[in-house]
This record gives sequence, C-alpha cells and structure tokens, in this order.
Amino acid sequence: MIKLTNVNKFYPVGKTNFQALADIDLEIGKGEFISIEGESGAGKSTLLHVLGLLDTFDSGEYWFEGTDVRRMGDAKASALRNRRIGFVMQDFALIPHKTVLFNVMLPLLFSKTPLRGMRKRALDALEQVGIAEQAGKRVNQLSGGQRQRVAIARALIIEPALILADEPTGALDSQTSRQILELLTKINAARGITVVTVTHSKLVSDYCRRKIVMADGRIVQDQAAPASALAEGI
Amino acid sequence: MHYLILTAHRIRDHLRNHSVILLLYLLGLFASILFFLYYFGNFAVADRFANLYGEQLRTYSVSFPEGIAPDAGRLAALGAENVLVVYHDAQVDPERTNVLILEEEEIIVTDSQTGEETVMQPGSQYTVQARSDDTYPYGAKFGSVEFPDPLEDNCIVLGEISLSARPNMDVLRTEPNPVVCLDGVSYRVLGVHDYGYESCIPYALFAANRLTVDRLEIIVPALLTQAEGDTFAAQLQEMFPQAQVQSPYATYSQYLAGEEQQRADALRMASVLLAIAFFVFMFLVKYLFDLSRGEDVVYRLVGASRETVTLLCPLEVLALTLLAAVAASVFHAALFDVLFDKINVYAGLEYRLRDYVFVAALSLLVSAVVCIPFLIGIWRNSILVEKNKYQ
Amino acid sequence: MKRIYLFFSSLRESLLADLLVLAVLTVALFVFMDAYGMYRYITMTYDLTQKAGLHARAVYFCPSVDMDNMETEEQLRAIKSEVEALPGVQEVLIDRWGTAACGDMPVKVTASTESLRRMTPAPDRGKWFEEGINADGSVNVVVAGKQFNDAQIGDEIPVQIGPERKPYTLRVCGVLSIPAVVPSFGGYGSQVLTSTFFKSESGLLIGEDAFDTLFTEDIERISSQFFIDFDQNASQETIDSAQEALTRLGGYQTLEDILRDTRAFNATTFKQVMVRPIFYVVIAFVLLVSISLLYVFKRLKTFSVYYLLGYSKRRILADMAWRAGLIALVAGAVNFAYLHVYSSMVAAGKIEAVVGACYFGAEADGMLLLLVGGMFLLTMLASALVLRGKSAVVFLRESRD
Repeated sequence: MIKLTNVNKFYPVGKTNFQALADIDLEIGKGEFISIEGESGAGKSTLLHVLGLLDTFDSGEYWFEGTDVRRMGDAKASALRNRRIGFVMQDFALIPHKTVLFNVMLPLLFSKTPLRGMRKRALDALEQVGIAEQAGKRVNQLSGGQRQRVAIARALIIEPALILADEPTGALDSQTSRQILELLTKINAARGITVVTVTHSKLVSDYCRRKIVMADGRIVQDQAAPASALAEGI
Repeated sequence: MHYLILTAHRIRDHLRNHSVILLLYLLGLFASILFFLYYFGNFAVADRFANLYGEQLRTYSVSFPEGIAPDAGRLAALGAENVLVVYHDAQVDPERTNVLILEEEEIIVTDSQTGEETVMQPGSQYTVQARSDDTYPYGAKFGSVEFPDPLEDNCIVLGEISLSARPNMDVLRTEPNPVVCLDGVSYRVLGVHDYGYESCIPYALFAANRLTVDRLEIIVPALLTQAEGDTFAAQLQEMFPQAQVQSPYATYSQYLAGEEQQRADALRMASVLLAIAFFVFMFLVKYLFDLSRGEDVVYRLVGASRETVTLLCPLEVLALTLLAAVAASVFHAALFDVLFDKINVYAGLEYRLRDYVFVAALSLLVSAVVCIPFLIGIWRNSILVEKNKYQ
Repeated sequence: MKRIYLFFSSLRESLLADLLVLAVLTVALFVFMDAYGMYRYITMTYDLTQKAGLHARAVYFCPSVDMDNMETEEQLRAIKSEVEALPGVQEVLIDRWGTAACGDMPVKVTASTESLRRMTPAPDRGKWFEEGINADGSVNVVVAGKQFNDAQIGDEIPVQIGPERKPYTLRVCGVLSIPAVVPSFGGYGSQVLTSTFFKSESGLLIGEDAFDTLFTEDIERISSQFFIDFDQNASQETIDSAQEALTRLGGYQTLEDILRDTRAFNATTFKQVMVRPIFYVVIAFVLLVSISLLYVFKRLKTFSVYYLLGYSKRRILADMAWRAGLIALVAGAVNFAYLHVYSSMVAAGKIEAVVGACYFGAEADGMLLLLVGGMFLLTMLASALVLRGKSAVVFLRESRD
C-alpha cells in the first residue's frame, strides 16, 4: 500500500543542513498496525509527517496506493489526505469551540460530498467510537479521552486507508489510553485500516504488531512484534 | 466545497467569541461606506454645473439675422411651457430722451463669456430685453426695479452701461420725469439695475409695442439630456429656418467636459480614500485571522488545500463588507430626508438603487484588493509551522 | 522607571499599528482643522457684522456715481453729506485711507473709527488705541496683515506722507495677525453678503483724529460704498422716508437681507467645506477606539500574568490610557502647532499656495481640544467597559480560549 524508497529529508539549521531522514526504505501493507519508536530527534514525527503528506522530502520515492506522491502539488496532496488519511494527534487537533458534530463532519466539508447525508455519516462515525450522545456538545466541554474519540471518529468518517497517530495517548491517563488503543486496534482489525503510530510509550508499543525503531533519521530496526508481546484482551 | 458554510461558521464564531472586535470592524466599514456614499453622490455623480448654473444649461438661444415680428403663434407656442427671453436692438431718439446723453466716441461692450466685442455707435442700437415671466435676478443700483402692477404706461429699468457711459449721473437724480425714447416710443425710467448691460421692459410691452425680436432665448423647465437638447435645437431650427440656433451643450461644451473629468477624478479619489480606510481597519480582521490560524491547521490536516484555507479569509472579509454595505445603504436611504439631504452640497440630489448597488460592488472590490497583502502571509505558511505555532 | 520600561516595551509590540493610527488621526485632525479655519474665515464676517451693534434696518449703500469721472470722490463726498443730513441717519460708515511710504514700500494707512472698530476683530497681540496721538507726537497704530505679522508691541514705524514726504513716527500698540480681516466698503453686487464689505489686508490702522492730522483731503481716498446706520430711537416712518430718499441717490441692500443671504451662503459653505472632514474625524475616531480595544484583547494573556503577579486593574487601565493618550496627544500637538504657526508661515510665503485662507481664533484651539479630549475620553470609556468585571481568572480563561 505504501512504499518509500531511499527517502531523504534535510532541514536548514543556520548555515548547515540537518538531515532529519536518511535513506528511508519502508513498505507498509494494508491492515498493518505499526509503531515508530526512538529517542527525541530520531526523526519519528518527520517520518509521520512525510507519510501523511504534511511535509515534503528532498530525494527518494514515495508511492501511496500506486500513486507517486513526490510530484504532487499541494492541491492534489491535500485532496489525497482528505480522502485517504486520518490523523489522531496528541493535542487532538480539534477546534475546541465548535461542536463535536462539526469537528467530525469537517473532512466532508472539504470534499465534494453533498450536504445531505453528512450529518448522518458523522453520527455513524461517532456511534462507532461510542460517543454519539455528545454530538451536540462543544469539544472544550469534553474530557481528554472523549476528545480523542472525536478525533478518531473524524478520521473514520472518510473511510481512510491509513490512520496516522502522533502520540495518541500522550495527554491521557493510563486507563483512558487503553480504551483508545483498544478502539484503534478494533478499527484496524475490523476494517483493515492501516494504523501507524509514533510513540514513546511502551503501552502503545505493545498494541502494535510491527515496531520500527529510528535513530539519527534512519530506521535501525523493523520487526514484527512477538505474539506474546501483544497486549492482553486483543 | 462548502465555502459558504465554513465562512458562515467563522463569522458566527467571531461574533460569539470576539464580538467587540468584529463589531468595531463592521462599524469601521459602515462609517467608511457611508462616507463613500456621500462623496459619491455629491462629487462623483452630481452635476455641479447643472446645479449651480441650471438656468444657463436650460437656455437655448436663437439669433435672427433680420429680426422677426413678435409672431404670436410661434412664440405663444414656445411660451406655453417655457420661459422666453426676447431681445430687441432699439434705436435711441436723443431728442426725446432726457437721461441718456450719447457720447461722441464709440462704446465698446465686451461679452464676458465669449469675449466678443460689440461696438455701439452714438445714437445706435440700445438693447432691451423682456422675460415672459417678468422675473429678473437683479437688484437696484438706483431707483426702483419693480414693474408697476397693473401696467399703466411704458416703463423701463435701465442696464448698467447706460450709467458707465454717461458722464452725468446728476441728470438721472435730478430729472423729475426721466424718459428714454426707443424706436419712437417713450419709456419712463423706473431705475437702474445692477445685473448686466441690457435694459428691461415688461413682456406685455414688448408685444404691445411690436418690437422685433432680434434674439430669443428659450428656457426649458427641466434640464434636458444632450440628446434631448439636440432634438429640441433641431425642432427650433425647423421652426426658425433662417435663424442660428445654439444649444447650451454647445455653448458650455468646454465646461461640461471639464466637469466630466472632475467627476471621474472624484470617483478615483473616493475609491482611494475608501481603500485607505478599509486598509487601516484590516488590522482588526487580521487579528481575527490570527485567531483562526489554529483552526486553519485543523482544516489542512483533514485535507483542505492551501488555496482553500487562504480563500476563506477574503470570503469572510467580503461577507462582512457586504453586510456593512447593505447596512450603510439602508441607513442612508432611511435617513435621507431627515439627515443626508440636509448635508448634501446640492439640493435635490437623488440616490437611485443602482447607485447603492454600485457603491456596494465597489466596496467589495476594494475590500478584495485590500485583503491581498494580508493573505500573502497565510498563503506562505506551511502546515507544520502553523501547527507548532498555534497548537 | 520600571513602568515606563514596561510601557515602552509594550509599545514596540504594536508599533506599526500605533504609527498607522497616529498618522491617520493626525491627518484627519489636520484636514478638519484646516477646513474649520477656512469655514471660520468665510463666516467670521457674519459674526463681526452681528457684533457691530448696527440698527436692524441699517443698509449697505452704493451711491450712483460715474466711476470714470475725475470728480467721483467729490460726488461721493457730496452724497455722503446728503445722506448724513437725512433724518434718522445716525452715522455713515465709510473707508478712509491714504498711502504712506514706509522705507521703500508704500503702505496703506486707514482711519479707524469707533464704529468701524466694532466691526473689526480684537488685535491678536496688544490692544486698540485709546489716544490717537501721544504726547510726544507719535501716532498709535494697530498693524495688520502679512507685511507686519512679526511686529512687536512698542515697535516704532517711521513713515513719510504726502508729496512733501513729511515724516511721522507710528508706535505699534496692537497687531492683527493674518488673515487680518477688516471692514472695507469697496464691493457691491446683485447679492451682497457680509463678506462683501470685509477684506483681508495688510496695512496700518490709526485713529480718526490722527488720520485727519496726517492726511489732507487731497491725498485721502474714500470708499465707493457706505454703511448707513440709523438712530436706534428713530421711528419706522422716519427710516422708511430715509430709505426712500436713498433710492434717488443709489441702490442699497438692507442688513436684514444681507444677514439672511449670508446665513444661507454659510450653510452651503458648511456643507461644501466641513462635511467631508467630519467624516474623516469620525473614521479616525473609530480607528483609535478599535486599535485601543484590539490592544486590550491582544494583551489579555500578558495582562492576566500581570494581574496574577500583582499589577492592579487600575494600573492596566492607566497603561492603556497612556497609550491612547500618547497617540491623541501627539496628533493634537502637531495640529496645535499648525494652528499657531499658520500666520507666520503664511507671512513667510511658505504655505499660502497649499492651503486656503484660514482663520484660527481662540475657538479653534477649543475645537481641537474638544476633539482630541473627547476622542481620548471615549476611547478610555470603551476600554474600561471592556475590562469591567474581569477578574484574574476570567483574564486567564479568555486568554487561553
């Protein structure tokens, strides 16, 4: 589904260039549940941003569902992101003063989807994450866990191929974190949606079936997790 | 793409959360557009020349090389709806005139508008005029300028030239029965007016004494357009084939062309002033844009393109401008009679619907242009930079 | 010191916006005050005529004389005598003037009677003379206009008068600054306004007795129009009869008609001259309020921290007051300076070509103060209303949202 070949990315820092990604070769298949781990500054978030078409890269190739992403302009990349990629962020990336329903519908407002039916789809997505009754509330009235569910519902409404999660449990307590991770796992298993998550947390890592470890912008380890390492209850 | 919904949401959010700033911005736009309406009506549209010199622009002149008899038919027909001013170049009889002592030298009279010089010989023609409404815009330089009602005899109010060319003002002061004799008819001198050279007699006397009409002016009741004026002039030419007919648009063509240029300049100036006003109030809406940056990041995350996010800002500004323009137009129209008509430079200015539509459209255009510098910053920013800054 | 430091460091944050508001406010005030000055120049003659205390039925009279005649002045004097003799006539006001040599320059010297002084503005510096001629033989003079704009009280001006160039010393007791509007009965027309018999001139004004001493009739000139004032106790019939007699000597317009026509003209002038500047000031005021309130909202987070750390709300308001006040003060000061250097700059020929003739009396200062002060107070009121009822917690919460 996703193939990166020899991807490099540099950031200018003063008069020099800092290499954030170095010779990244990566293939991600449909339905995978992957964690990207490593120390701070290893390049995890940069890789996530490149995967999510939020950032560009300087050399190499990136194929997403058979499409060469590198030559895409902003408009096409945004359209692809709108249709196929969902985001779940540590700070939730929601509009706090808008309603839950509005936040979930938002990707549809940027697509060609007709108005009629948007509301129902949003409510369905909220139903899937278990907070349909909060639809009318403003986001800033919800708890952290509820906000993250809203973010997941927003990701689901477009029926994505890929969900990218950047420290999805970073702002949550352990119990809530488990609930979110179980939800992501359920979505991954039931709908075959690929989930790639950046994390420092062992708890998150334990839910993933494949671990990628990065250091100094490179992938230093990429292996399937042993069956015994998977979290209980899955 | 549901731009309208998103724009409406944005504005509603700002109204809910930052109402003071939003209302101040609307107030600024409202005041600016109201001023533009005033400026537009008074300087970019109003016909200054027609307002100040309305009668001149309504006056069509007919000159007869031979003079015509005061033909009741044609003049009566013209005079039914228009004011007529008839001129006659009379011959002075010095023997029967006791106030006009004719000079030996020539008297040269220069027309202040055309610069044309007319030489009056001793004992030569002396122009009298009569208006069909007997209303003259002059004051009294000497004696009385009011015609008696009812008319009992031939009377005349002399023009200024009769004084400036006369060495003996004492004659007029001391003579108990001042008389001038024109074309063999004696006229009692009532006084001297201060408005030009021609002397004036009652219109009824002009016809009664069968003075020939050497020149005729027709003052129409309402201003005609240039096309209508040309048609009217053609009708006059048909009525008086031997005469020379002049439309006021020809007479004052230079002034009118100058006015047209001034109106265009005024519109440009008003647009510039409007742009400056809109620009300075953009600081308020820039603040609102900045507050929405966090929201913009979310939009980008869920797949809105850079163009989309950038476009939302001018849409917001245009929506607010339209609201302010409509409010200003309604306010102006509603209070026109009690307030705005009283501060108009010219009386009787009218604002039509198309004027309000034009002002609204121009306001939208100016708003769109003024927005551009503020959009460049939004356009240039990358998702990640914004994400780090605003989240 | 620390508060000044805090204040200026906060100014730096919004420097561009503040400079823009300052520029807009200064220009708007300048345009308004300039228009006001032009309007006052046009309307001041109405005020001067009204305060002259003339009879309600006074007339501005144009004698009918042959203007090309060498004996015009003689005729005018004859008519004046005839008019003065009419029953009910209190006084005939005329211009009397002559030319003196002041160094190489000719200068107009005008006789100023008590009645004429009632129609003239008070000197901007010094005062009118009580005695025309001093004990030492010097003549007291009020100087007027561009030529004498920089004269000082007590200055002595040597002049020569007449074909024999007889020397006299004039001592300055008062200065009428530009525009130096004085009565001048040289104009007439089909519509007479109060401005018809006033003029902005440069010259010397001396007492009537002094004028009679310095100028003989052969070198004196008089105006071709008169202002005829009637006795306040004269009956209406007497005045009717006098006015009827005047029609045999020339033409006139009544003071009532003149004032009525002038009021209509002034109303039109107001619309032509003042309406646009009023709009500019309103827009500048809305801008000042807007930017001041924007400043409040932008610094909510900062204020919340200040508040938490012990800065009182009163101090926050004072901070805002300083800021808005500084802008208003600078804009007002620039314009105040303009009002007070206007006459010097016109005298030096620096700005006459740029702006129209203006009159800036004491009321111009008052108008400016009212505008600037009013805008400042209303801005502070708006800011205080916004801050009203906000506690530290509210500050913090709103700054986060």
